[in-house]
Amino acid sequence: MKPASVKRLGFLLPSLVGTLGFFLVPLCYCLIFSMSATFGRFTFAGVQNFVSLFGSHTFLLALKNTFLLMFVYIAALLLLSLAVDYLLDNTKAVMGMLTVSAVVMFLPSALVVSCISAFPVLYEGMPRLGFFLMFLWKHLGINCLILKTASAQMDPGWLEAAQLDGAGKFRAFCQIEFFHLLPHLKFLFIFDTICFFKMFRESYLLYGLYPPEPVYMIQNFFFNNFQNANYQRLSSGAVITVALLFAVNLLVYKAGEKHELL
Amino acid sequence: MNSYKSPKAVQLLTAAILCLFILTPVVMAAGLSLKSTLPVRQENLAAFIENNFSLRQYQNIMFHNPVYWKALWNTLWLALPSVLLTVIFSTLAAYGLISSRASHPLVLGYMMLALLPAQVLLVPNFVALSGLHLTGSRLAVILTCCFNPYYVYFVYRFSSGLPAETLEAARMEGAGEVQVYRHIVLPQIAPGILTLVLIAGADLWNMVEQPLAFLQSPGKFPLAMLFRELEGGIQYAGSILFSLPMAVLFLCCGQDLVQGLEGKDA
Repeated sequence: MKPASVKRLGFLLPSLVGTLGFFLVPLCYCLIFSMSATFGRFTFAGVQNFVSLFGSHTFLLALKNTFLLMFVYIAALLLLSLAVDYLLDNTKAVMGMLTVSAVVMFLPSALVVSCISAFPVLYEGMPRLGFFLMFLWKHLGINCLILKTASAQMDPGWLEAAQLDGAGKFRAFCQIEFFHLLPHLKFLFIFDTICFFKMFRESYLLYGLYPPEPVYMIQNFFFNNFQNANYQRLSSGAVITVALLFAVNLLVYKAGEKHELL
Repeated sequence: MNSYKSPKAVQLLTAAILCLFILTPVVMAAGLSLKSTLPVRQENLAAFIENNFSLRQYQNIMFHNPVYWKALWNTLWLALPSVLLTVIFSTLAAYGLISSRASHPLVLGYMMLALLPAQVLLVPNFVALSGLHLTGSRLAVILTCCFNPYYVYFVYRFSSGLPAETLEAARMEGAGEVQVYRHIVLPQIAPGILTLVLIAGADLWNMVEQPLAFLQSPGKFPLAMLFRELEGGIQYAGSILFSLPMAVLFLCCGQDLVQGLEGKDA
């Protein structure tokens, strides 16, 4: 390698050292110790940790809730954002309104939590609905804004051609605009997945470390086991969650590619 | 322009519903923060309509609640160094990534790591921190936050749009790598850095996971976590005060947010 490119890679060094040191190497360490009976000194235990994990009621509940709610919430959020995108034209006023409503995503969790806590019916009676409302409130604005910005960048010629051929607005939206938006929807899915996992903050502020069963999620499971210093169990849980998350995201990425080939 | 327009009435209705939905919690918290002391968990909304305007909640927080100021101080101590280090590390890394050819697997690696939720990374982080004997200190939280791979990917997306010829031209003229980075790359991606500061700042202002995991003593907890313990019905005023800096920041300079979030070429 030429000295110049070595020098350039030197810029990467601080971040690379941090990322390897705090994330990647310890993650591999956990992968190894997920197959050990004790943490810190390796004693091979095969898949014993995984078997005991899948026998645990709380883990199964957390896993089921997480992936169920993740899909339902994100699907509903994306559908609603598409509906808003369909119903609003892109004028300057609309963009301004969406920009302002996107800002709420960056406000601290305390604000929306203090409001939900005024409705015990919601957070005690229907925790899933309450949780969904908080998720929707935080992310509807930013999702709509990203979609609207994307559809504003679309070549207007496509829609004009569709109109000349006599397609109605809904048909043009489904068959032309939707496919233009598809890559952005894929981005949003992944973005919303990250956001969904950050909803732990709302959950913690509202319920503490032990939320009611319908909204008990993998984040809570991790935290509670972390506080009980149950590290090899956590390692196996982390391995399973990482594998599932990567599988889901890969599927989402593959799912769109077929259409791009058409 | 095509003429697929929605009827005015439909547009107005949609916009009104959206605004109502987004604004309700803000208005509600602001309204309730101006009432005299409320029960810890408000039973019903009667208090909102009741006409008992008072600034007592704000007064209580500002003058009678040492915990609030302590926690605000903690938040600043955790968030400011983290944001600063995040900016330094991610811009350096992004420069390394755009100017070396064999960087694609690295970018992919950063992206994959960015997808993992903080809770999954708790144990790996803990392993590293206990190796360094840092658990329980503020440095632990700062270090686990400032290497966030998402931000590296974010700045990379922003700077990958820079024309390679510009950088090459500067190098031909004899500029060293540091000079290219400082005088060519940094000024060009300045808007991206501003967006990075905003989103990283908002995230760290609101952080719960890492402090909860790595700071053992509640005396070091940031404000975002202490909302569970703000008693005597001052949580509304607290949340408004705590949200205000973020709201002002974003309304002032959040114009290019979308471009920033999705990356330039998306």
